[in-house]
Amino acid sequence: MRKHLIHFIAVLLMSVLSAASAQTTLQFWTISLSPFFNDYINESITLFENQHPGTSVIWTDYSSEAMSFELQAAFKSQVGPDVVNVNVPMLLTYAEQGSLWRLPESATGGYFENSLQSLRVQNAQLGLPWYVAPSVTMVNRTLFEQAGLNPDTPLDTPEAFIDAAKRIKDTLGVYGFMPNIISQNMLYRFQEAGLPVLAEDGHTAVFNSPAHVQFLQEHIDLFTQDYFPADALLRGYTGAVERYSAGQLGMLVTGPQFLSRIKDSNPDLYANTRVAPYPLDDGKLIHAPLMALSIPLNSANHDAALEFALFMTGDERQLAFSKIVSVFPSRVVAASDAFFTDVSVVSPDAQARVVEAAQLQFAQDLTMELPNSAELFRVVQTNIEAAFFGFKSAQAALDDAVRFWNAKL
Amino acid sequence: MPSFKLTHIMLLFVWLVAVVNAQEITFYADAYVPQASDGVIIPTPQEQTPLPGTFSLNADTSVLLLSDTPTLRRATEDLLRRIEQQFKLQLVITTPADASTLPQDNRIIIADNTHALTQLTTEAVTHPEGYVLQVTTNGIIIAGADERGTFYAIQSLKQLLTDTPELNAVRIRDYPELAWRVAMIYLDNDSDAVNGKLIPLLAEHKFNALLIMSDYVLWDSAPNLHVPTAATKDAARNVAALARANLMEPIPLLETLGHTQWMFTNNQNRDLLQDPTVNTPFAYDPLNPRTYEVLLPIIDELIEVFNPAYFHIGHDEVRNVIPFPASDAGKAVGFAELFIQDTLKLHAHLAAQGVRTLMWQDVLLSAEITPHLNRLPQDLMITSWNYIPAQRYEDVLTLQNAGFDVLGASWYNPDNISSYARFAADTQTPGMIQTRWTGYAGNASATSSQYQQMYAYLTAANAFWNPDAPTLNNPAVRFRQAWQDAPTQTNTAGYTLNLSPYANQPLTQGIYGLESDYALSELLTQERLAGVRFALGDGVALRGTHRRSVDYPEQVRFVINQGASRVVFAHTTGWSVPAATNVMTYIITYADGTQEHVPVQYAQDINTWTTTEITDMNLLQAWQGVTPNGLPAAVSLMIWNNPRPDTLISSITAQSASTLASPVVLGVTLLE
Repeated sequence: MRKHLIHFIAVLLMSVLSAASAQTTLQFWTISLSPFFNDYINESITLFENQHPGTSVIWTDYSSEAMSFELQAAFKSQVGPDVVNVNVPMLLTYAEQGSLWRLPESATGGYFENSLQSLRVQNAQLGLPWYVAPSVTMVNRTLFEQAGLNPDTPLDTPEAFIDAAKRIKDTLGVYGFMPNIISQNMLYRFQEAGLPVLAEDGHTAVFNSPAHVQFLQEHIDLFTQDYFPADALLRGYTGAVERYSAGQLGMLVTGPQFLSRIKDSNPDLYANTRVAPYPLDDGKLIHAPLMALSIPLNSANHDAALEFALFMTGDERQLAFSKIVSVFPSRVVAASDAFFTDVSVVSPDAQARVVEAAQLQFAQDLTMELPNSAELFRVVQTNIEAAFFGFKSAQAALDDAVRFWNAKL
Repeated sequence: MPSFKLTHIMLLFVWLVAVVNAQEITFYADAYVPQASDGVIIPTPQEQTPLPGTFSLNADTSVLLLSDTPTLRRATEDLLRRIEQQFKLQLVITTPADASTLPQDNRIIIADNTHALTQLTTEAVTHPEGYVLQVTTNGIIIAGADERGTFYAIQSLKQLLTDTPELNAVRIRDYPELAWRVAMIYLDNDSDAVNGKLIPLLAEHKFNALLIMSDYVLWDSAPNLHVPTAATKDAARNVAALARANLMEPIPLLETLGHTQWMFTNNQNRDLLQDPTVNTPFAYDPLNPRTYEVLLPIIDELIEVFNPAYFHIGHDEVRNVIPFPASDAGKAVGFAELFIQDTLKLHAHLAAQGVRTLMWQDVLLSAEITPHLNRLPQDLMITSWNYIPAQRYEDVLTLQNAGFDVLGASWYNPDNISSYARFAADTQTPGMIQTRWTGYAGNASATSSQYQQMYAYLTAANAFWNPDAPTLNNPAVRFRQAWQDAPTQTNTAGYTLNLSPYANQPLTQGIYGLESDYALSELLTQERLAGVRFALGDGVALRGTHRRSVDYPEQVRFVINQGASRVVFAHTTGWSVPAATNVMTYIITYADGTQEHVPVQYAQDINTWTTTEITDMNLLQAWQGVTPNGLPAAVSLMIWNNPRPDTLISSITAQSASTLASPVVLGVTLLE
């Protein structure tokens, strides 16, 4: 009996020791969330740790630039995060280096397919979608009414959008819109219109087809007919936000965060703004920068890391995050919460929330992984400028850009 | 038996090395032939007419300076110094009082239109700053419309000098199409070294004004803002004096309202921040009276140093970085009113001292400010920046229609410089500013990291003076020649290395597997690159991380067995990487087994083949051309000075650092 008792105590001790040695510590790195979201992140970690005894999470926040530097060092030194917050360009870079763990297919349920697609490289899911910020259309009600337009008219197609913009300019002499077509934004516009940038092999640029040329030419025609100002080409969305803020632009297509800037700088205009859906083109896509959580290949805790990443990107945590900042969830259930469907509140902020949530299914980060991407985008920009300012035809501009791309891809 | 085989194999190896070596290395007595100045005048003259015959400078040539001002005397002395360096001729300046005693031939006459002799011998140009420069078999006559015109004629004559004292006879009638030709420079702790060299270079290319970024100077009134990288007041005075000595109008620029980081250096003046809650100290608060207690004394010090007729107050991009206005009080006043009031206050302060105000246009033309343009004084001169090529520059017209004098402002895009200058000339815009946006704290580094902004000065000099002239070719090479001391002009013997035995990159094919449409095949027609002879035919591509370069060899060893004082490499890369990235190493192995490692850094020693823009003055771009399908392409050279020229080099190994860059060696030449 005593022998059995000793054996029992020994087994008990071993299991206790075993449990103690199973303690897992996860390193969690994020981009620019501290100090503004300390409470949210710390609360999330506490909740996770409570639900997962034996697992603790250590959170470190870096600026975007510092994160790139630290991550590269981490990948080389084998000491780094178990779960890391990346944007799509970062994910694509680290994917090419083979630094990210391929997530099991079973982990991908419940997310919008487009968001998952943004994080898939050669059929490998390398990140879980986190938060997203798609654009909406802000409408200056006064200008619409002065131009004889109903500000509540749907503007969810490019044709309706352009017609309204033209009417405003023709009637009031004020610009109706400013397209965001600087540099790689034109490539996003192509994709939103259902026009591919690369062939399926991913190594051949194809954005000089007749359809691409026509798309560019239509924008050039709008520009030469003075339906949008040169500012759109020179200053991009900064100029557009300024013009809208001053009440000198009929419609502004931008992220919801700019609503707060307008609310601050021009409260009257804010109150007079209707938020409408992003004009959806033939591609049924809306380019929307996406944040994700990935798991480095060199993490020693893939399973626990996946648990934590799923928790942070789960419906409950994403919904909670969306309630404290103007971002949107990448999960279907969270996006259908009453918070995003309540149409009883009529403020522009609330309108934006409802409108954007309804379009989340179309949101996709259209960033491409390209060698020498800055150089490639600069070539696109230079050629498009040359086309807009009359130095090249649309066809020649796209041909020249494609020729350069195909030398580098 | 085994030893017999080994001996034979060794002998075969020795024989193979000898044969390969014999085939690979070819001697040329003229392996390097220095490139002489091409005698091109920058900016391109309005009229340049060849005349029959030549004039030969010689030891008896008289130099008659008839318009003897300090500037013209110094310019003439510079000219004679150049003649002495180039041709070993020591000419002296004479200023005869009696024109009747002047020699009738073998003479250089430097005067203005008013001089009787020049009136007799030239058809005068009366356009301000214009000149006639005439080379005939009798000699050279310079006749300027005014002092600047005469000065510019001397600069043109300097540029006409090539490698021979025989000057082709020519008549040049020249004048600027734009009256204001302004170059932007910076004050910092490198100012004396950089601006001391840059200002005469700009004057030589006929700029007549300087916009002098003056944010960081050791002002007496603000010792709390002193930083080690700031210029001293003496350095600022030197710039003012040098500008005037070169007939250039100095225009100080102090960034105000926005871009005012200088006001908050050393964590000072935090109470004046427009938005104290953000980390970026970008703009001041114009509602705080203490703002002007800091600002106006600095403006007064600038006026004391430069004694300027014009002063640029910036005022651009005020709302681009932080919310403005940020405070409740500011919001109550509104952005437009804050902007207008600040402008009026600074304008009044300057006008009281007889100084005209310049400012940027972008905020003025924002939707909030344009309704208030009529509240601004009409003597404001607006500088209208636009850095993208266009056929029309609407901002200029808008401001001119609002009654303001306007100057255009370009950056380093050559097409924009040309098109904007043309537009300015067509619209009677009085002039252009060539901006440069680097050098707040590191003027000296502009040549090594932002060289494209430096050599754009020459593109602009050409376009501002003569907008109808073609865009200047090779401005990077020309600027480097003007900036650096003239190289020793001697031919050098040497050996070219035939890379064929090692080659895996034919020049008839595109780099790293691209089709022949992308080939650098134009190189095959080149016997020399930058004066250096190469055996150009096939290249050696090395491993990189791009999918197209991963299967290439990491290193290749070239057998040399030759001594050399210098080794010149012609090379390129498949792709670009950040500047200063080590993309490969040339490992020099001497016959005694010792080695030298020569690192090759991106942007300063090598560039990717599609990059024709040069960002580092150290980069020797040896060739520019196009591929068969029309893509602009370039190849660079690197010269390595051998520390042991008397020791045989047995081999050179090109070793890739296996980055995305993926290097390709196109030629190797050893110079004695």
